[in-house]
Amino acid sequence: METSPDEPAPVRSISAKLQEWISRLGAVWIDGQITQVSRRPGMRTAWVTLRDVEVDMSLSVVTDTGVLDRVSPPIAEGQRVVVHAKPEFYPGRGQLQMRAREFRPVGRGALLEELERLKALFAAEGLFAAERKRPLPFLPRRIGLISGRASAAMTDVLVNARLRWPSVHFEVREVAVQGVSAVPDVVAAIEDLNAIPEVDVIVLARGGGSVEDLLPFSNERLVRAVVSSRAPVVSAIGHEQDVPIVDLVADLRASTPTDAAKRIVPDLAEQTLIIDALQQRGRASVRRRIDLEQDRLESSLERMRRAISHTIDQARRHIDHLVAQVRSLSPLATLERGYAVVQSVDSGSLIRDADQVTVGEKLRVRVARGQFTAERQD
Amino acid sequence: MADNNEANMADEAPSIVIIPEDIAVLGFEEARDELTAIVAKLESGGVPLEDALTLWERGEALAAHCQRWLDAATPEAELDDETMEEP
Repeated sequence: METSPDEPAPVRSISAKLQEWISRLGAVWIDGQITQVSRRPGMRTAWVTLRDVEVDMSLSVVTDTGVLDRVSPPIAEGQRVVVHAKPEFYPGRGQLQMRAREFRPVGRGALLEELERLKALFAAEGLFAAERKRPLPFLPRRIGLISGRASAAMTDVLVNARLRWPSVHFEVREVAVQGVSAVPDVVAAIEDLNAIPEVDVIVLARGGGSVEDLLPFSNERLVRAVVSSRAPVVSAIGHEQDVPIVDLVADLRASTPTDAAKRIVPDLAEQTLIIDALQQRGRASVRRRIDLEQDRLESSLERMRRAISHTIDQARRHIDHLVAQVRSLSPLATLERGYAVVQSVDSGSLIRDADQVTVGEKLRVRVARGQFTAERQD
Repeated sequence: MADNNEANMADEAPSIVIIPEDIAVLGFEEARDELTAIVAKLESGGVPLEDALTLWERGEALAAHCQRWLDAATPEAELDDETMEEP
């Protein structure tokens, strides 16, 4: 259609054109979720808002009340449905809506089949493998908690974790945990928490619910968000029989929110005891070493002193022995026995022979104590 | 004679041991090992008297250094007994 500022088309032409294009879509089958049902008594038409299961987009659906009444079980808000509808454009007000001819609720059987299909898909990708599970940090800096607004699950996790480790720091994200907003809310919360570097673990907690209620936790987009989460994820989703798929990909599966609280933080009292015991053992060990070294030191000192004493004694005894020897060799001993040493006064030579001395010659006589002069008489 | 005094000289510790610089910088194990070596040498008996006396003097200094080290370590290891009793 050719238009320009100088040759614009009138509203009616545009509307007609839109009507033409839109009607080309024809009747389609749409998979969505009912978020609003609007019908008034006595009215023949009813309006329904049909929202995408994963993203925030919806269509206004108009239908005959008869069409709605034919649906079994009856249509309710939150219900997943498949709708056969075709688009209608009302040129009068330029409004678009889908006119539905048939509503088919997605039955539990169909839901479960869909779940099985997804499970098989994820299993084939290896997303359930044990090797994928990451260990939780022993003491997380911060714990991301994704839970229903003011829910018992949230309280359970917070209270029980704080009992164990009072100074635990939570980053709480209150979200829808069922219904149309659940998937986008939870996915956004996971991304938000992963952007905080101190968040070392994320807990997804909600209470029990029906298969339909827990559907978001088997949704492909939510499951993949958990798979690609930087922080390890603990799934604490109460369920009766069927395990939501997120339980299978989570790094840890807790049976209840309380159970999760016990596994994400250590017990302060218990850890304190362990550390005290280790400290005591350490100190006792050091004390023993010191005592041992003290004994060794004292023993070394004793031995050293004994050795040096012995050496000194030996040296002294040796000296004493030498002195005794020297003394025994000394002429003093002989003199003590009464002998005298006789020398010539003139020459000083020792007299051994009487012939060496002439009568009247002066002699020096040395006795043990003192000396005197003597003269040969005969 | 002074024999008696000399006999007692090595039985007790010298009253003041001056620890020379080169010993004071030794670690505990080093000092202890050197002391052990000196004891072995003195016990072997082959050392001349003057050298033996020098070795003994060094041995006393090493022992004093080791004792100082042990004394410093002891209060830290015994600290916990008081604090452990607190509730």
